[in-house]
Amino acid sequence: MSEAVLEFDLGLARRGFELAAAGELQAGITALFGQSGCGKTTLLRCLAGLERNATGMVRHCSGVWQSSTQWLPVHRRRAGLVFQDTRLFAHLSVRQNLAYAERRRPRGGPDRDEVISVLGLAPLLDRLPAALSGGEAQRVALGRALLGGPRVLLLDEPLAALDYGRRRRIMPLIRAIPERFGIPLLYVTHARYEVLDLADRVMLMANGRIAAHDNVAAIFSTPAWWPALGDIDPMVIWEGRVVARDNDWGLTTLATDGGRLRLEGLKAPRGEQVRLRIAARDVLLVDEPPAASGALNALPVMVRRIDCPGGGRLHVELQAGSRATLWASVHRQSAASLRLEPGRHLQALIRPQVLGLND
Amino acid sequence: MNLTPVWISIQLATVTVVVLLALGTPLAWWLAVTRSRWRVPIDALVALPLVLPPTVLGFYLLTLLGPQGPIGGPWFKVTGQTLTFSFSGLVIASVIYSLPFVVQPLRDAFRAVGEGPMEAAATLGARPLDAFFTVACPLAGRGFLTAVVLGFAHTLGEFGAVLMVGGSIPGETRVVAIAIYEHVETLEYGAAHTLSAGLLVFSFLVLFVVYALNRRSRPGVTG
Repeated sequence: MSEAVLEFDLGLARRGFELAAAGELQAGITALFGQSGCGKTTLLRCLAGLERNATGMVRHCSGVWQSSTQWLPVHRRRAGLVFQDTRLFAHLSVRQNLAYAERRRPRGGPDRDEVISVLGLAPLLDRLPAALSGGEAQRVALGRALLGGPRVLLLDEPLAALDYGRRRRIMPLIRAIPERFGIPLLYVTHARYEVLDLADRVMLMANGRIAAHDNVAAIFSTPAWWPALGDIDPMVIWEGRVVARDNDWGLTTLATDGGRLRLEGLKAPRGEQVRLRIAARDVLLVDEPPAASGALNALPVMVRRIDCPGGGRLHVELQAGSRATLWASVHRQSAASLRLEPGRHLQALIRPQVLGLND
Repeated sequence: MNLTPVWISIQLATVTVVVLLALGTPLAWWLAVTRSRWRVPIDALVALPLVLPPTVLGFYLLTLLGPQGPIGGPWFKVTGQTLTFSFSGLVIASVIYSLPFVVQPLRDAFRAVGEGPMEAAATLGARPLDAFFTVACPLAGRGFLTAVVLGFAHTLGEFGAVLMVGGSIPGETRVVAIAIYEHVETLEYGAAHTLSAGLLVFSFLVLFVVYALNRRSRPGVTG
């Protein structure tokens, strides 16, 4: 993991709610994931300095924002908070909203023309906020926060109010921010697919606490976190790298911890990182390597353990390659005929699903 | 006909509104955002001139501002002039008398703006005062308009408090309302008619403009 840009250990007591969250933010995109009301927005507000009653510590790599003896006011923290309700200034045009932020940044920061072009703001510049659609307003709010030259960018469910198509258009813009502008991003959401498609890391939040913080693959592949992620079915996330492309067949080969996989319809160039989801229902166990099959990918696996969640099906944890994990969902009867037991070697026919925005 | 009272009234109303904006704006902002337990009593105090008979206000002001009073006394020592029966005394009386007409519209406008835009401005690096003048005040623009117009008009129309504190010194404290009263007392109905009608038409126009502006779309506060 890269070095922490922002560390925090914060407390805030309110009637019927207590925040006690400790963690750190690194370069890239960190998703803050949790059920509604678990304190995600409150944590963002504490980090930005908007909750005067918050106790504890916030330390940016450039200096202390908050400690028992220090309190850096909001306007000097320069945490670019993008509110869920955008909070554009209604009396200023889009252009003036952007200029408001740019005029107040101490030095340097993203280039105005670049922000305007990346976010597609040019046709909106002379409009008043009241004349913007939800998606347009979110883009302007994002642009305004960027032009303020923030040290970190805190996004509070920026896509929650948007329909599917608009989300799909804004997500790549958000994805590009850390690399393009060098600003780490904390992204609040309760939508799982946004985490899978956008984030490098996840902070799992529950009841005002950070329950877990790790990279996306580790969190989503750990059974202990499945309930907190919204009772997801057994699955794993693998990170792969494009190593070859076969244009005749339209197939792309990925190297993963579990072995090489071939995928169709993936346009990523060689060397590109690709995130895959392999759900238990997309893994079929067979005892012999098939001479031919309808599946593109067959990997040798070894049974690690067998869970009985109840009902007719078993959850089988498998080891693929030297350290990759895979889950398969198997009916009791099939398990018996496959003679499933820990240590048994089998073949897994798998159908991985490509995540992210590189499709 | 002597128009000096009209001129004095206009001067008084202008000075009063300027003073009230300077004092009332921070007070209104505080009332709009504070969670202090002093908010309710202060709110009530600000509204008092709405319900008190002007004579009550005038009587207390006369006591406070008189040459032996706790405010008028020191003032007399420093400046050598009395506050009562002077233009300065009138301004003080008018400021208190018209306070709710300026503070309440401002307070309501600031409350409608809410803390959201101010928080956004702060995260963009705006200092509190900067954010106040560049975000809260423009967004509360219509509240300022209402406050100025009502404060001005109400000061023009005051009578009781002004009479008790200022008396009726021609060219100094005799404002329109008092001039009308004295014209009537001396049976100069023609002059009383002219001034009264003028004040009536002016007041109607002012209120008409305020209501017309407020009827239009609310100030651009988005939800």
